[in-house]
Amino acid sequence: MTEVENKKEKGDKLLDILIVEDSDADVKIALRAFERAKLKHRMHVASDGQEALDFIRHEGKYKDKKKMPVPDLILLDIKLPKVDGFGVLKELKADLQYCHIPIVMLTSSRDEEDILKSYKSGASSFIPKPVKYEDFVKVVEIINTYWNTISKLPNTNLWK
Amino acid sequence: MSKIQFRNFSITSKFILWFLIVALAPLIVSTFISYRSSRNVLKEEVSKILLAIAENKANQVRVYLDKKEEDVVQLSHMSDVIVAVERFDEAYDVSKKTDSPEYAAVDQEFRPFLSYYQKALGFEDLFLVRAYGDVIFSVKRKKMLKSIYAKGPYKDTQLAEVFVEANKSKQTEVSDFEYFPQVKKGYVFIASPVFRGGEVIGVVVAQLGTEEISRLVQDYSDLGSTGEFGIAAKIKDEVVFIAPLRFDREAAFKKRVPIGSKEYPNIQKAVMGERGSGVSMDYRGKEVMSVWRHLPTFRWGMVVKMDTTEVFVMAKQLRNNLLRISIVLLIIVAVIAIIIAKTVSSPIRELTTISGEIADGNLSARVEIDTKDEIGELAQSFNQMTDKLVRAKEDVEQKNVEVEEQKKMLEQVNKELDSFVYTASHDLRAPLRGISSFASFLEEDYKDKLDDEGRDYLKEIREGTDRMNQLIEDLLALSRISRIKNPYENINVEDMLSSVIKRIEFDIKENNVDLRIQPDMPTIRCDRIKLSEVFLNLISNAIKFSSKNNKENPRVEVGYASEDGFHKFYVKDNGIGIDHKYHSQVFGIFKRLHTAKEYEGTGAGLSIVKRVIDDHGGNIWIESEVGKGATFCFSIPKDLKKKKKIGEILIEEGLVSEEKLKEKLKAQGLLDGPPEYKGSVST
Repeated sequence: MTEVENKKEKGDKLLDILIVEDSDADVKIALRAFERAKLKHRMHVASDGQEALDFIRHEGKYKDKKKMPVPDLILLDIKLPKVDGFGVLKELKADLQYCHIPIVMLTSSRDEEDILKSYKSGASSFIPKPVKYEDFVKVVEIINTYWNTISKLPNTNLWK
Repeated sequence: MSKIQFRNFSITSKFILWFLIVALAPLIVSTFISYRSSRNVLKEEVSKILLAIAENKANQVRVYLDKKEEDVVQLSHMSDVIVAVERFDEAYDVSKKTDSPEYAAVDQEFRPFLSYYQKALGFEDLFLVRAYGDVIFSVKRKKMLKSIYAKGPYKDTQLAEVFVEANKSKQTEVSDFEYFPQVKKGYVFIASPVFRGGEVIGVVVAQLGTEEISRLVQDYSDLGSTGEFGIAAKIKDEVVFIAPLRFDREAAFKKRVPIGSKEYPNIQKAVMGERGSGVSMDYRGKEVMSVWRHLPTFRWGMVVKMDTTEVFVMAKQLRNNLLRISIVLLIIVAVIAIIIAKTVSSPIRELTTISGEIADGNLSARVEIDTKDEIGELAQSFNQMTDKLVRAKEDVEQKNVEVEEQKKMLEQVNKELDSFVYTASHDLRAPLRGISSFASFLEEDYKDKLDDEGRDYLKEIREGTDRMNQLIEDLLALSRISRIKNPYENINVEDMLSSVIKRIEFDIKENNVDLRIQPDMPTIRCDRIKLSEVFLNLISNAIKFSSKNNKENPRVEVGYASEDGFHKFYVKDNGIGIDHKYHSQVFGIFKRLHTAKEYEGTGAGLSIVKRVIDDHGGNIWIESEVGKGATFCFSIPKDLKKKKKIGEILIEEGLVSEEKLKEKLKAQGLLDGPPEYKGSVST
């Protein structure tokens, strides 16, 4: 915890993170967990797979919002309306323009098949959603530590 | 050396054997008896016949000899012969020689007449002997006319002897045989005195050969092909055959035996005056039946004999006929026996064949015997039995199909249930997360606005959700254990244990547990991941209970014993122990013997353990008493097959839509009573 705080104090940059989650409660929990972890990233929410794809590609209701950034990291649930997590995963990984975006599966499933299928489809990580809020906070901190502090992410602005 | 035993014979053989014994035994006995009796009858008959023949032949011989004797007597009484004796006597006296003119004159006068009688009566020679003992005439021996006595050629001859006797007795006398080696013939001499005026003036002696007797005895009529006569006379101290034998033409005067010797006892007896009959060996070495008697006139002996082979030819024919009949009877009896045996054994054989077929699985085979006897009844009941067998088999097959269907159904239900549990517990998580998280938010955001009671409620909510989360985790673990089948592999249990211990190293150190693992653990075939889970659960449990109860020196032992067909492992602690009445309960899911405050955990661990052991086809049980620690033992079969437990379904935990499942089970007749565990999820 102290390590994470230290890293944050060093001035990690703010990311655009897209959370694809259909449960309002889970969205609230996730956002609060980021808040509680004192992470000020720009959080974007899509409530189904299609919306997520639209958001990333600037299509549908996001067509006009040219200002919408390409997310630096996607937290993707599996069970989603319209297009499910795997659908989103496959579409994005097949799309040369967006296949660089790391996708972290954040889901209630602990199913071996789901895990294997996720990695095979190009997921960067698979994290089971913790039930307890405290644990959720820890997970969020760890996600930040890994993807923001330790890892180097591509500069998406170069692609634009 | 295989011993032939009657009881090992087939029925046919036994029948034939018995029939033959029953049929042939009396036949053989009667054949034997009739052969014996006919032989005896024949023997008697033949002996009578032979005796008659002998009598007849003896008569013929005697008649002949008497005739000859009579001839000589008549000659001696003929006046011409008397005159001849007187005239030869006178002529011989003159010169004492036969070559004097006087003798020649007499000779010329009488020779033709004497010679004629000699020939006519069949004598070999005819002698006139005067009372002084001089031979005064002989038809054949002109130059030998000399005195009977002194040194003459007739000294010690039968001629001399018979003359002396006749001269003395004044009666007709017959001499013994005399053998003449020159001619190889034997002769007898018959002497009859010649009287004139009451005085013996001389003796007529006739020399008689055996030709006529030979002819007589060679007439074998009524004697078959082997019957014959033997006639022998006593010459000095020998018994000599005087006539040829049927099978030895040269026997006359050649075949001779000393009196008293062992050869030809019958003829010896006859010669010595005895008569009799019997069976003996003859000169050819053949068995013969003979009758012997004495011929008094000449003191000869006669034997009539016949080969027994011929005598008993009738008996033999009878015997042979009986034997032929026996053979025919034998064949008939054998055929009948075979037919009867077949009629008895062929249904039995058919029964045997059919039962063999049925044993081989051809249940449609039936015995086709419709006789009304015992065998027919047997066949009928056999067929009935087979029918029952078929019905029973069909029943069993039907039951098997039903069981198989039920099994499949149960498996399906089990699968559905597992997947239901999985999905349900999975889906339970999302709302739980909500409850848990929002309770936390409430606590964070409104901490100051709540009083102590409110905060306490919040705390209760948090704890409840934590506990529910743990339950869900356990449920998922249990369902995972059931759903995932890892392949069996050969695992060294020592290695497995050391990796398990690594996972709970912290626990062991923290509780200062003395963990003892028996060395030389075996390598066994099992599901590595699941069995690790078993050890992990059992050892963790043991640590938990022993450290809680025995803070001074908690001890956990892991041991192994090889049993018949099973590997037996045990994990022993020195904790509080388990009362015997709870032993069967502890493996039920979420069954706890203690409150959560005393011992943490949901109680799913042992359910998982039991499920894994069951999946391996093994057994798990507890050896424990209150206060003396607990020993969890489990066994894994050495020969691991695909054993699968059906029927143990999660309805026990009351987690699924019981109604639906009960309906299904009731429809299959599987639900007799209430499920074993009626209790709902604990807490």
